[in-house]
Amino acid sequence: MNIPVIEQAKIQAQVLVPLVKALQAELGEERANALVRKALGDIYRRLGEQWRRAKDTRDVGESMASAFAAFAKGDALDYSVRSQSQDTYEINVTRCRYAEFYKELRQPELGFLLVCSADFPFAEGFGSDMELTRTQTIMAGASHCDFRYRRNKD
Amino acid sequence: MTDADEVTISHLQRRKIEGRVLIPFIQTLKEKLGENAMREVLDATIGKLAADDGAAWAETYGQTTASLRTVAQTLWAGGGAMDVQVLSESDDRLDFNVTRCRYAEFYRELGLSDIGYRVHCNRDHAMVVGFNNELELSRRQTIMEGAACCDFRFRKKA
Repeated sequence: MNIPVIEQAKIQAQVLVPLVKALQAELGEERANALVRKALGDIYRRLGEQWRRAKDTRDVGESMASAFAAFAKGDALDYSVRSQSQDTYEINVTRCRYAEFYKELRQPELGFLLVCSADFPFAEGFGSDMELTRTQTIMAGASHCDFRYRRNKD
Repeated sequence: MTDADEVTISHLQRRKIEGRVLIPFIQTLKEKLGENAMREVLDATIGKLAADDGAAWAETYGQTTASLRTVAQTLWAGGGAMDVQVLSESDDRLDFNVTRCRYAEFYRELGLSDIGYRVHCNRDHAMVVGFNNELELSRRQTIMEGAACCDFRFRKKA
């Protein structure tokens, strides 16, 4: 199915946004969000594992570069690569249509929960030694997102 | 939430894309909240979405039984997703059978026809309310539940 990830995310948002809001109303925000993180965590960890197997490489730079190329399809992301090697992949995302989409819906908190939060389990899917550090995101109001992927060697 | 790309994505493709997150999501809800609480929150959400879809389709295609047939034949069945056999149609009735349904096949292949019924077939009654509240749907059987065909019978309320 050759549909850009951003278009898939928009289709999924149509059901996820009302479903998560109904859960929040029912269970309270904290408990609902924990449930959502658990559900999406399982989904995106599996996606990370599938991605790693499909690319069949331990090269962090190569695998994450291909993942971001997919996330960016359909003009969804502008980003600059600060460094890329076998063990690291560091980029700044300077424009994000996922964030713009959720901001248009006036739901950036849900966007953070449903989109940005998924990056961590996705990274975990690449192996327990893969580490993602990110101190800020456009969705949460920053000028850029600072993705730092690293394979820990010890 | 619409854009130019939408027209190139069939209704069936949209349901499959949605299913990729919705199905595991529902399974987690069931595991953590129990079957009844999962059903309650899911049915309410899906029902609201379906009524909104019905209202949007009425806006695009009109509120008549003929426009409902167009929705079924072009939107739902688009890209070969369903085989629809129209039995009779007038101003106050529309009868058709669905004799093949790839939505049902998608869920059956996953072994999840019960979830498929909840998130797909279940929409139709709520959809009619949004589409035209003077119409009602009776349907005794569906392919999703294992029948040979789905018997859609729309009537203008007495």
